[in-house]
Amino acid sequence: MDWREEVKRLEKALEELRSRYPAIIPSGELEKIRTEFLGKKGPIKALFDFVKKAPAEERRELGQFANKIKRAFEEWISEKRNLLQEAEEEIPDLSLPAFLPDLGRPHIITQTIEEIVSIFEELGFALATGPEIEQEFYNFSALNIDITHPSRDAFDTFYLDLPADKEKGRYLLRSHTSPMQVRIMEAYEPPFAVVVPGRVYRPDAVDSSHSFMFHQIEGFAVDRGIKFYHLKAVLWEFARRFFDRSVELRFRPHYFPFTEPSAEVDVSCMFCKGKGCSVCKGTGWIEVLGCGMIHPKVLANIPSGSEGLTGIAFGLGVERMCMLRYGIPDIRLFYTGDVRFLRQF
Amino acid sequence: MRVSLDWLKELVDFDWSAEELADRLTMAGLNAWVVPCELPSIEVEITSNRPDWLSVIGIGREVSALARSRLRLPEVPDLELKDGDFELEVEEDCALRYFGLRIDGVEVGPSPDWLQKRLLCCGINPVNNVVDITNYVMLLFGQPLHAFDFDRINGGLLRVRRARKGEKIETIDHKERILSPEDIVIADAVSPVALAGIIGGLSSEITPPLSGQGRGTTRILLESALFPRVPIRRTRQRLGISTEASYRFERGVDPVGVEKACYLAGDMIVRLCGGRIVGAKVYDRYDPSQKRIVSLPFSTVEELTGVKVPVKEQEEILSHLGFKVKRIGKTFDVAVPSFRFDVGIPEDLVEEVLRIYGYDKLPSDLPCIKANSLRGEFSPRERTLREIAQILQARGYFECISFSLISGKQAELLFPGERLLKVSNTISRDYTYLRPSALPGLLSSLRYNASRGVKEVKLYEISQVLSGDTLCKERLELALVSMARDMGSAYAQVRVVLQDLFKGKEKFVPKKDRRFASYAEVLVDGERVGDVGKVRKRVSQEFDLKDPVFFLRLDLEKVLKPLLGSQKRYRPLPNFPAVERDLSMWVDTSRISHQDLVEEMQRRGGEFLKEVRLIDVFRKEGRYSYAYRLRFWAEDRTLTDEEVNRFVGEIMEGLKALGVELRI
Ligand SMILES: [Zn+2]
Repeated sequence: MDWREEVKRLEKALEELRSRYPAIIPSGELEKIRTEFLGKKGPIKALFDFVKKAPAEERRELGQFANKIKRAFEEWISEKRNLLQEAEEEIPDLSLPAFLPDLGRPHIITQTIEEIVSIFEELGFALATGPEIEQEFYNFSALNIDITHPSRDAFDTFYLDLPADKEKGRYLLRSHTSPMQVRIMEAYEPPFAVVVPGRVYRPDAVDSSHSFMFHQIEGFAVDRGIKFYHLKAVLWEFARRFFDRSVELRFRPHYFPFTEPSAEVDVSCMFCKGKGCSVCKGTGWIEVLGCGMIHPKVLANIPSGSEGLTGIAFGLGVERMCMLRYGIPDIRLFYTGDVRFLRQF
Repeated sequence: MRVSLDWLKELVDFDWSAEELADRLTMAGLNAWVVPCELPSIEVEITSNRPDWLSVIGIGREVSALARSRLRLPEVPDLELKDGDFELEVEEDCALRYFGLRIDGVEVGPSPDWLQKRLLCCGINPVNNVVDITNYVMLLFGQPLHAFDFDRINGGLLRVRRARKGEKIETIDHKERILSPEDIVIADAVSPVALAGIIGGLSSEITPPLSGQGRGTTRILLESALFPRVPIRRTRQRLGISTEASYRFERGVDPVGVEKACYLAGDMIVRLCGGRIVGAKVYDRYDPSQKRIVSLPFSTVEELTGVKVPVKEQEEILSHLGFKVKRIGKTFDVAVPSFRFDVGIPEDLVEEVLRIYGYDKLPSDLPCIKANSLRGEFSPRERTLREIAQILQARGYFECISFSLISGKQAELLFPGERLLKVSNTISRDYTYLRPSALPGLLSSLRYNASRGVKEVKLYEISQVLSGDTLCKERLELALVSMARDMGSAYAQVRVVLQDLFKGKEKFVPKKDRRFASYAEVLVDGERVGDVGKVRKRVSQEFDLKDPVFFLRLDLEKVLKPLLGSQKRYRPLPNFPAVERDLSMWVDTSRISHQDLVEEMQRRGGEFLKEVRLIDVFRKEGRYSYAYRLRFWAEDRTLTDEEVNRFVGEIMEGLKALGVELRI
């Protein structure tokens, strides 16, 4: 055996391996290469066997060459093994999406209600809920909506096919959340500050901006010394937290039978910052809710008497808030259960 | 209501542009905007409590208060009225006041330019001088007027009465109307000639000469009256006619204006159409002595609103708005004018003062809500609801909000034989009944999704539904549906929710049902809390659904209590190693269920058996194999093998007795 030739051959073979496998080698293949070169029947073992038999004067030099080539192979293999080990800890493509079930989501109306309620809770209000099947007394009479008021018509309120109650009148689907003012007054002792979210019903034909069922949030507070200007602060604080810190509020006188004085509340348009755009119809203001001081005739529902008590109340439409905030163009989207819509929020 | 600025300026001095005027009125509660018209004009939207704003004078009064400038009311001649030489009869409750003024020798023709222009600006088309004058005076005072052709009034008799059943009238819009006893009509000796307060009849219409129908009108009967609000609204709604007159009468007309409008219109007709006033007939039940007085202490405005308005300014504002204000000590004695039906308490006056003074001058101050008797009343319940919703969301369920009303067809399909509550005045057959469960809504939503290619869907809804017990009561329901390509995974998605919520305490009582397959009632702690099942094909195909659909319904009123945070209890964790034993068995699922097996194992397993967990299920040659892992532990020591073996022996005995074949 010409050991110099053999060493050269092995050096060349290692060079070839290096260039053939610049990166990672699958572990099976690496093992095959190791056996091929470093195994019991491999050329390096043969070289060492040859060294043992070589004459003493050559053995030293020969030994050095053999060790060098053996180390070179070993280093290369361990380097490749390390690479392999490191690679095992790596996810090959972090950007691949997972095949796991999606999270569900609460409806955007529910999310909006929870957000609005929590804002008012921070301001000291408490949450309450109440029945959707109501009676004329709670929906109208006790709220100072007299018997001739148009909102009592079958055009504006759903009546139920049930015999009327002698005291509390016909059964109906509540047309607003305000009846809860009366129910709370009957059941709890003032002072209180309450927000009531819930479904309400009006016999409107369904189109892109109307629905016979929608959601309202009623808020009211009754105590001594409550004034109209408190209402402005509460609602301004709400608008700033719900829409934008920079939003402005405008109170316009309006009429509601159950409040006096009453106001409609506009917020400065958050889309054009008051310059005028299609959302605010060029006015720079968007109407968002109605409010006022609770009418003395409504306060009269407090069984222990309303002497010295005053109250503020407000009501807002949740769908409207939602449509404004998220740019939802059609109210019907809320009620189809389309997961492509529900998933967006 | 539309009005031109020049007309308003006849009544009150102001130097605002149309835009400025509209803006000021809007901020005073009278929503107004500029309309394109030959003369600068604005349109105002009135609120239902202020019918006095349906007149130029009414708006003028508002402007006068805003500009703090005197209102100049038009001069109305005091006519001396002789008997009109015709008969007038008014039935009880058909009118409060009725003035009939007869004018003979009238020449009907076009009205002068200035009058036509004014009407056009207010959005009313000129007709002829007589009709135009009635419209002009209506716009000015808010008092609707009507003129009859006197020669067409049979028997020289006007009778204000309820219509007879089935009576007919052809109105000036050439439509025949069939009347009912709730309608009020003006009739002559033969038949109705006008629908009171709404629209005139064609037969007695004012006609110009040479109109092809013989000679024109020469003798007229001018009506200025006050009709009751409610019957007019009912008739208007039933017959579907809305007119300037009905719009005003429904909302309320100033009783004092009846007379003034009559005189002014009579005078104008004489001046502009010729003719002479023959005389009048008057029916009058109005008692002008009944005055409403409201006392307003000087301090009330500030006490109620937090704004300090100077006493003099309060007085000025109220006076300009037409209130007669007297100071008595530190209180205003305020007499409410006849055209203000909406004012009766001090709060009403506070609003009047403040809205003219300016809502924008309201300061802003957060109230300090210290005591609140509602605080915490509903929150534990709401938190638990939210927790349930979060579990569902984590399991991939999306919340749905579907309509609470369902069709008769859906009711028949899903709730046959149940007593449902119907809406009397439904808007569509699709929304007729109040639903006793949200299931139909969820199935409709599945259809919506499936038709758009989304076939694996999980939806839930938490809503107030009709309670079965008493018809007019509600209960809170959780309904959920899961649709998937195969039955097993559709059901697993439903089953897991019960595990999440009740942690193994849920029990199933299978029931046969025509609507549902794999149907069972769900019990927790022995109480029925809901039901679970698969919607039968017969039902699901009505919703165009092909893939299997499972549902779960829970009565949240019953579920909430055991799930409340305050009901949860800590159970000690093992201090000593637990001993585990696995048992596999062949189960005849037609006779016995997992819940029976678990019950038996727990019954026989002794006090140290703390956990029975299903670890494997497989099927071979039509038989099912269940495998369980039993965990035993004691709180104070490590259990010995002999102890555990004894219990396991007991359990195996029990299982054998149930007919279960144990696999070793
Ligand atoms: Zn805008």
